[in-house]
Amino acid sequence: MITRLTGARVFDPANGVRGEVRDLFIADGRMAAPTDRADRSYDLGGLVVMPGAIDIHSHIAGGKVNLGRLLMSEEHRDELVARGPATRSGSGVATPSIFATGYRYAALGYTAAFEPAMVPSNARATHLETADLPIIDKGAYVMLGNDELLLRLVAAGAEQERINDYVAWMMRATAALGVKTVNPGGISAFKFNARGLAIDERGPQHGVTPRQIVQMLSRAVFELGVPHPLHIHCNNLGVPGNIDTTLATIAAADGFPLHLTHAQFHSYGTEGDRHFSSAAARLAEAVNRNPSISLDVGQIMFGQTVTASGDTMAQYRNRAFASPGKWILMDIECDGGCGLVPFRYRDSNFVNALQWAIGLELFLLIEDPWRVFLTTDHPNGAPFTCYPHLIRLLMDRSFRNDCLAAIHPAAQKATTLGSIAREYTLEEIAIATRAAPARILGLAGRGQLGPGAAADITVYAEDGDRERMFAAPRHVFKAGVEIVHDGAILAAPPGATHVVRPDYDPAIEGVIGAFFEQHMSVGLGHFRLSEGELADAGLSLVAQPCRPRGRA
Amino acid sequence: MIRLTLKEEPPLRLSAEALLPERLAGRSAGEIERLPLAVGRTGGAVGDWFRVVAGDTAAIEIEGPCHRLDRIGAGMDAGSITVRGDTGAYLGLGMRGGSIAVEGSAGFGAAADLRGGTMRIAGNAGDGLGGALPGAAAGMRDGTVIVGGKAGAAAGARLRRGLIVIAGDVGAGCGAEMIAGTVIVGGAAGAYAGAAMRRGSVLALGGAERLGSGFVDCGVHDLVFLRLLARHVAALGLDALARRIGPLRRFAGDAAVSGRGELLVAP
Repeated sequence: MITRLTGARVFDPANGVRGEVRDLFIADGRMAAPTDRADRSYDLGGLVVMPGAIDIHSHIAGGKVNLGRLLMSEEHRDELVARGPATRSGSGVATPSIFATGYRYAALGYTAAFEPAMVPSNARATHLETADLPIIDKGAYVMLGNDELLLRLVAAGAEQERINDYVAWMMRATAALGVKTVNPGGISAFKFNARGLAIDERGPQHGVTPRQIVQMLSRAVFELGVPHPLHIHCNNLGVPGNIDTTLATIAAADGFPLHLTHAQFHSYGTEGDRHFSSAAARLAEAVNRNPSISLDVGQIMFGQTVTASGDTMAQYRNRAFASPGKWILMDIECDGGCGLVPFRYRDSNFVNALQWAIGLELFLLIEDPWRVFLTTDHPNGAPFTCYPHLIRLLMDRSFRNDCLAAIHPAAQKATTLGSIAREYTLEEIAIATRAAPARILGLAGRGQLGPGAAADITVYAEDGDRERMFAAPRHVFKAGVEIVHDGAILAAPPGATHVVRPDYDPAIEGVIGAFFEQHMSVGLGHFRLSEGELADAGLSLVAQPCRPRGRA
Repeated sequence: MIRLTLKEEPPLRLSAEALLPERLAGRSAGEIERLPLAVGRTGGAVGDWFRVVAGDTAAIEIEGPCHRLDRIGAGMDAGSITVRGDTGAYLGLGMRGGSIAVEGSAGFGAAADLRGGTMRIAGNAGDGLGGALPGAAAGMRDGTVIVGGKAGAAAGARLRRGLIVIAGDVGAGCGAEMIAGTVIVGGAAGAYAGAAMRRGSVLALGGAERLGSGFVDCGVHDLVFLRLLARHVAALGLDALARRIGPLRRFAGDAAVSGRGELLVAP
C-alpha cells in the first residue's frame, strides 16, 4: 500500500529540506520515492511535517523509575488515565506508568525515547519493562564507570584493549545502544564515605581518578565504533562552581567525542552574593570551539517532579531538599547506585530560577543546533510533557522575556537571558529534536524522511503559539501507520529496540566470569541477556551499524 | 434527611465516594438516582443499587447490606452520614469535615488520611484505622475517631495530629511511626505499639503486649496532661473511659528514631 502526504511544508534537515512544500510517499512502513500511484492520500495543505521526534535522554524504565513511582504515590492516586478504544489505563505525571509514557510521547509527536541509565544488573528488568512501552522506539545506555570490575581493571593497569573488550561485552550482554557514565568513580567513592570527587582525585578504594575513567571509556566507545559518544554525567552535579569540573572533563577526553548530558546541572559558577551563578556562557564557548562535544540540556521547569539518578553522591546531598520529604538511596550489586528525591522547582527560589535561566542560556548560546538536544532529563528537570512549553520558550523571545520577568528578581539580574535575541526556527527545532539525535545515536533511517527511512512522521498545524502547535500534532505516523489523529491514539503497535553489537575478544569472559563467580549474586550465564528471551518478551531488536575505528 | 437503601448486596466492591451529603442535599430523588456509580469496572447509576428518598438537609442515611460499600464519605467537607450496618474499606478517606456514624463495623482503612471531622464506629474497625495511604508521609492529619469495639493492626500508624479513641483492644503496631497526636486504647494494645514513633502519645489502659526495645520505662506518673485529656474524653461522651485515665506508667520512645513520643500504660 502506498500512502501519499501532499501539500505540507516539510522540515527534513538531514536531507536539506527547509520548509519547502513537498509530497511524501510511504510504502511498507518506509519513505518511498515519488510515484503516481497512491492507495491513500492525506491532504496536508498548510500543515508542517517533520520526522518523528527523538528524545535522547529520558528516564522511562528500569529499577529507579519503579522506585520513583513508589515515592510519587500521590500522583499515581490522583492522576488517573482511563483506558481508551486503543489504549490501556494508566497513571502518573512525573513517573507515568509505562503505557501512559508511550501514549504521551506519541501524542506529542515523539516516535523514540532512550533510557539513559541502565545499570548492568538491571538490564533485564529495564528491557522487559520497555517491552510494554507502546508505540515509540526505545533503547538504553548501559551505565559503566563505577562498576567494581572496571575500576579493578583500571587500577590494575589494564591495557585499553582489555577495557574495550569489557565495554563491548557489557554492551552485548545488556543489549545496550550506548554507554553512559555517571559521576565517574564518584558513586564508588561515595560508598567509601567520600562526599565529593575532583577530576584528578584518587578514589578511596581503587585509587582511580575520574579522569582515567573518562579517558578509557570515551576511547573504548570510540574505538569499538559505537556511534554514540560516551554519554557522560560529569562529577559534581549541582555543585556551585562545577563548571571547572565540566570543562576539565572535556579536556580529559583528549579529543575523543563526548556527549555531556543534562549540562544545565553542570554549568554553575560561584560568583555573586549568593555564590551561585551561571556559567552557561563558558560551557557554550567550549562547546562551540570543540566540534567533538555535544550535549543535552536537562532544562528545568517549575513545578513538582522527582529527581532520579544513579549519582548517589549528588542525591545524598539533595535529600535535604526533598519535597515531599521522602527519598531513596541505594547501591545496586556494586554496579552503580540509585537515588530518588522528589523535588518541587519554584520560580520564587533564587537557585531554581537561575537553573531555569541557565538551561535556556545553553540552548541559545550554543550555535550549532546539531550538537544541543532538547531534553528536560525527564523527570529530573521536569516531565517530558513540558516539551511544547520549552519549545515556545526557545522560539518566542517575547514570551521568554515575559516568563523571565516572573522569576526571582535576583535571578533575573544574574542571567544574560533577557539580552539574548536568538529565536529558534522551525528548522532548528527539527534539527535539535529529530535529525541531530538520530545522527548522534547512529540510528540509520530515523530522524529523516529520505527514501528508505522509517516512516515516522509528525504533522503539525502551523500556529503562532508554538506551545499549542507542538502540544497537539494533527497526525503522527509510526512506521507508516497513522497512530495519532487530533490527539486521539488510534493504535498502539510496539516500537523497535535499538542496540549496537560491538565485537570483543572472547578471552575477556575468563576475567568477567571469575569476577562474577567470586562476587556477584548471579553467574555470568544468567546475567547475560539472550536475544531469544528478549524476542520472547515481545521486543524486536534492531542492530545499528557499529564499525570499529582505529586509534585516533 | 436523605435516605439511601441498598436494594441488594452488590456482587463486587461498590465505590460510594459520590454519595456526599453536600452533593446530594436539595436534589430530587430522580436526580440522585441518575448520578454515576461504578461497580467494579462497569459503569452504572445510583438508582441501579439504591432506593432513594430525597431530602433538603445535608444528612444521609445509608441502610441495607453495605459491607461492600467502599469510600463512604471520602473527601467529605460537611454534613453527616449515618450507616445502619457495616461498611467496606476506606470509610471517610481523606474526610475534611462533617461527621460519620456507623452502627456496625468498618472495614480496612477507616479514617485513613483523615483531615478533620468526627467519625464514630459503634462496632469494630479493621486494620489501618486512621492510617496512611501507601507511600504517604503522614496518616490522619486531624479530626476525631471513636471506635466502640476493637480495632485491627496499625491503628493510628503515621498519625500526624488528632485523636483516636478505641474502647476495646487493638492489634499489633498501634501508633507505629506516629508523628504526633493521641491514641487512646481502652483495652490491650497488641505487640510493638508505637514502634518508630517520633512524638505523640499512645495510651494503653488495658496494658500493652511486647514493647519495642526503643522504649524506656520512666515510672508511674499522674500527669497534668492526662487530666486534661480525661476531661476532653468525657466531653466526647465517653465518661466510663475518661474515669479510667489516671496515673499511668510512662515509656518514652521510640529511641530508634528520636524518642520524644510516649506510651502510657496501665500500671
